[in-house]
Amino acid sequence: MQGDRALAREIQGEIEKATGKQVAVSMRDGIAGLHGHLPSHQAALEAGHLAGSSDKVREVVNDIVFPGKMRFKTARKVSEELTGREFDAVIVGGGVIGLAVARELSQFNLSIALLERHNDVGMDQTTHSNAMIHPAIQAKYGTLRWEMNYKGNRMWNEAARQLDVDFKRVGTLIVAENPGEEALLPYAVSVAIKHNDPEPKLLDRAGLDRIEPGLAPNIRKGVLVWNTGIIGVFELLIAYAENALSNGVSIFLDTSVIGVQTEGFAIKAVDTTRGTVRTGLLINAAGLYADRIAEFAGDRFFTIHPRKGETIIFDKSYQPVRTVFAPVSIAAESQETRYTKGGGIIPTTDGNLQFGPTAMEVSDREDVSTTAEGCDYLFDKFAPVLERLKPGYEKPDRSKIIARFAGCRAATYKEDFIIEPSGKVRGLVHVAGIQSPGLASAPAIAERVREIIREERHPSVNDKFNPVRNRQVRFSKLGPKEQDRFIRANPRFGHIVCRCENVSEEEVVRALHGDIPARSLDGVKRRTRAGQGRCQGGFCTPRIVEIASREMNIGKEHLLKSEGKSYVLSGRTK
Amino acid sequence: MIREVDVAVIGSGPAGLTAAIHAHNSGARKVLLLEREEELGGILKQCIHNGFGLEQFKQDYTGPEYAERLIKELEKTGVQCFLNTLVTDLSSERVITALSPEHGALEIKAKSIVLAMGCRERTGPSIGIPGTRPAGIFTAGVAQRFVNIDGYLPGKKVVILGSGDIGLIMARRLTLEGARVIGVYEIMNYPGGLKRNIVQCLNDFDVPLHLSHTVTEIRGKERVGGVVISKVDSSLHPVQGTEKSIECDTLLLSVGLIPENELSKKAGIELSGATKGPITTETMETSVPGIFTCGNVSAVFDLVDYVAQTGAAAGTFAARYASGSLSADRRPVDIVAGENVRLLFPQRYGFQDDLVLFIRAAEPVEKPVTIEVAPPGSKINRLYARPNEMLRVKVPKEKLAEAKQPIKVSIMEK
Repeated sequence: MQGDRALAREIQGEIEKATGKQVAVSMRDGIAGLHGHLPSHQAALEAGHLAGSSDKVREVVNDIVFPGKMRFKTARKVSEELTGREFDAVIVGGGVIGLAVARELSQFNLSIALLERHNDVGMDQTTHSNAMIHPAIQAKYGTLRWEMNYKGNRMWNEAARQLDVDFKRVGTLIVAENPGEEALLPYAVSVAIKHNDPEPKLLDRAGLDRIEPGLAPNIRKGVLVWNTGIIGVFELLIAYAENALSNGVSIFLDTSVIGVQTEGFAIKAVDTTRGTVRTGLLINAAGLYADRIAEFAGDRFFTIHPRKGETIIFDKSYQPVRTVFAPVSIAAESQETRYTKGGGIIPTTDGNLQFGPTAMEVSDREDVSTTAEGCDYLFDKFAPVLERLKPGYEKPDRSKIIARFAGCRAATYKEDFIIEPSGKVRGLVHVAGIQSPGLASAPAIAERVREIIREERHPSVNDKFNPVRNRQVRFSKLGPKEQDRFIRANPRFGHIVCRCENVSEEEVVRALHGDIPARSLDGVKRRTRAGQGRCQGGFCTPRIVEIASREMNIGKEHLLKSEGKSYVLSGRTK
Repeated sequence: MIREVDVAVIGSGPAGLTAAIHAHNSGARKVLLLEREEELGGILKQCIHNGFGLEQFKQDYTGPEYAERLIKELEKTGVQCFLNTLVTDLSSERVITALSPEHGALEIKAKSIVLAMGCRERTGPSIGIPGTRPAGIFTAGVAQRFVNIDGYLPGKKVVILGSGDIGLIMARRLTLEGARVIGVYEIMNYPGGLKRNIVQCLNDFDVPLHLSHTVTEIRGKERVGGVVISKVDSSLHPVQGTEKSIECDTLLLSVGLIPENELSKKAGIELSGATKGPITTETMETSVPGIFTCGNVSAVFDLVDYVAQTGAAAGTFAARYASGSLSADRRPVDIVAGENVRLLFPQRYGFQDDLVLFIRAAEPVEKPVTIEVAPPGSKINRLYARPNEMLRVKVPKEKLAEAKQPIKVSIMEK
């Protein structure tokens, strides 16, 4: 207790020194609690980070009030349709983590429900990620984040094969531009080895030319961290969900948690906008709202502070690199400034190059807006790099940017993952603070949760578990003979509705009638790529509206772009 | 199965229809018209406003009426049409790959090909508007389709960014449908669309046009809730402190058209940086022998009459190429932009026909100008030169017999 008080005073002093203001600091069981007022979001963040930076602090609950602080909104109850249902386990959150956990737990004989607040899976962090399977080189050594990262990274070959998702180990290529930087490359190799990235390769010019042709003449050496991967992230979400469903998991979309019932410090039930579900096991994979779910369950010991990342995407006609391309200058920088800026040059499985993501702390967890500064920052930082190091290639051009997006990472002030059973509430397992590289880590996180459940509940094994899932046909990937055969069998394959990505009507129809059906234009877009091309829906939108309204049997004025009140059209003409 | 034809025309808008008719009338026996939609006519089908065909037919048609007239003419020719047929690939050896529910995966070998794919609209992200990505953002052409073809209103309180012709037309159309069009905001200090559309679609309906303004932020989570408008300085950068928040539920973008040249690129056709379309001669032949181009895939034209005129030339010369009667005895010379010329079309002269030049000025000149084509030194006078109104000048073949590389075109104040 003496130590706690001293530590609290120490943190308080540091915060005062940094912000010029006094806040109340409490310490209990290694958890720092911050209370009081500070004049800005920035100051409140700084206080949180200061508390989190102490080795003796396990996590930080930051309740400091600042002007403009957002309050949690509790969703309105819409029905009681789930009331009376009972499940062995309830997973809150249908992002890649919740879904991976659901699939993993379906290996047991457990009845499982997954609750997702949006009308589709993975709508917060996962779809706004850069679809990259990170190497572990950049993770802080010794953290849980690092452990999950390197373990998860190794699991993707098998997972992607089972789930039938595009996955490619393109590698991160660190290139040196001068002798000074060349001298740093052996260090990069040693860091990669220390972080358990397997066999990083020191390359000479001939080796570089095989991996990344057309480099500037002054580049003579580089390091390939080959285990970096890129993945079809939209397909992955659907794949996880479909595989979980086929193994018996129930997925409830449009279902927000509004409370958790406990009895004698044990989970009893979950209150949702669709009624109350009874369960003894609650898995908190709620991402940006994991602290809210923890609070509902009476075990709040961390605070999520959203860190927004913006990304810009280029047209397929601009594909200057094959690898995640990181000159020494950028690779070194991202180690140092990871809380403020960052980003990289990242290809995607569909052939669209990305610059991103930035990193900006924001106060609104729902903030997915892009900014002029973010776009300028990314373009001005990475375009000159490509111009300089890939001189033979077409000059990067802003007019080739076809989309910009942003999403928030669900970071805690310890900047580490929390994957553990609650110390307070029986039947509660936290899978929280899963920010980047959450996607790379997902299979390892799911496995860890599986082992926690195995130890706690000793469930029997589901003999019928099938890890394999097959995707819908992608018509544009077929050869002409096969295409002809498909059209003869079903003429709707011959009706191309998205001319940029060559998506057929039949694929749109299947997306609307899948196991996890698309319920909006964006849902169709994520499943089929219709609208993801260079015209960004200019051609296909009216056609998809037509098909969706027919297949969903609703008037066009009721069709949504995403969810809520995102009506595409306002009504009929006069 | 590989089909063989004399002339294949890709796209059945005004350019493609005219090209197909002219190819037939010039003696091509097997002409095949490929259209990705279920009806002929291209974008004309949704252009229910008038002003089409004033020059070509001396009639004031609506878009569908104009298309109907061409389609009737086409029907007399017996040209074969494949509807619902999307061309997915094109080779420099003039082999077309296409998909269609009726015909399956098709391969067509043509003696000559006419590209008439038209253009697409520029979108929001490509011009980089920061903010959210809610429902309620449309390009003007998509909104036009929803209103005129599907009978649905895109929104009720509308801000239009860009003063291109479709945006202007939609300002009037949406006002007539009961929506409130708050204003048209144009980043340049001159309008993008034709004068007649400014008068008839904005002024007559009290819709304000704000020049040197742009949208700097989109707000709203699910549906557009508003936009932020800023003034821009002479280098088109938003001026700090001029931000104005406007409540609206719809943002229409009329920020330019881009020739649709994905197929041209696949065939290895040389494109112009200025027009974004194939580089052509007066015969409309591209850099790939036997592939011709016309209409908005070549360069974005202001008037359908101009589109049709290029279609006629492309169809005629494609037929001659197919029959082997198109001589190429003289090397074409380049036509280059001189003073105050932003773009011109065609970019080469091949000594086959009169040269009809389409020219867009770089800067507005609101007084009489002389357009000089040198050599041979032809001078043509016009009352003004405006970037939003293409200039068309004709230099007879005889005058060009002595043309030397390169022919330079300039717009000079008189």
